[in-house]
Amino acid sequence: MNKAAINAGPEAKALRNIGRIKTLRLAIDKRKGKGLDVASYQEELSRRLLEVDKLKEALASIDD
Amino acid sequence: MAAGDVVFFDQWLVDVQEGVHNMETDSFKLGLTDSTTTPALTTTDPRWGAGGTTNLSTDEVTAGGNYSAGGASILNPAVTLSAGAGVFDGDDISIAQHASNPTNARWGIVYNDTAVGKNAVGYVDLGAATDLSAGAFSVTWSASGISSMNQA
Repeated sequence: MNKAAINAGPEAKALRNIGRIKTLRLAIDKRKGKGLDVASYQEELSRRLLEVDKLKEALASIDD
Repeated sequence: MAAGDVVFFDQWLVDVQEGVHNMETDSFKLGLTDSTTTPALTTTDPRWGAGGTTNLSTDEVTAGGNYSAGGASILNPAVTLSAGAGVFDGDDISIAQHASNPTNARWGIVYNDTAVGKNAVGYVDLGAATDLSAGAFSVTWSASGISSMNQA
């Protein structure tokens, strides 16, 4: 049984971003192979990658 | 049951093998219900509407504000194979705070909005009656996806 987070905090959202990026990448490859539209999937992937990049920058600033 | 548990109905195991659901190309929604009916793994032929044995939509919270009747769409659904498991995943759900939002959401019902019979897939335990008028509401699915199937 998987578990969702209701009104998740930052930690759950960060972990979810990683998992969702994986499934989105797999889904995009699969859909492309079937000739299906991937625009909305790519938009969501870009949005989540941006969030991860922001977190990486924030983490890097700790080490500065 | 604990807050956040995502349970897929036993009936889903039958429906998916009978071709009722295409978990990748069909449209799925998360409808919110009050505490009148407690969904369970064994709920008989659950639907979001008539046609089955259990019509979960009869307990839907009152639509208003940023919650529309029928619930929020789970966008970009996908089924992928990962480490031997078939993973069903989709975008998270987010409903912005609004004074007219429902005030008594207890369960989230995942159902197939494409299927003629609006067959329900599973449910999410919100943990307690939740007032969406008091603050933003979100369901963040597991990092492992909404659900997965593997060879047990």
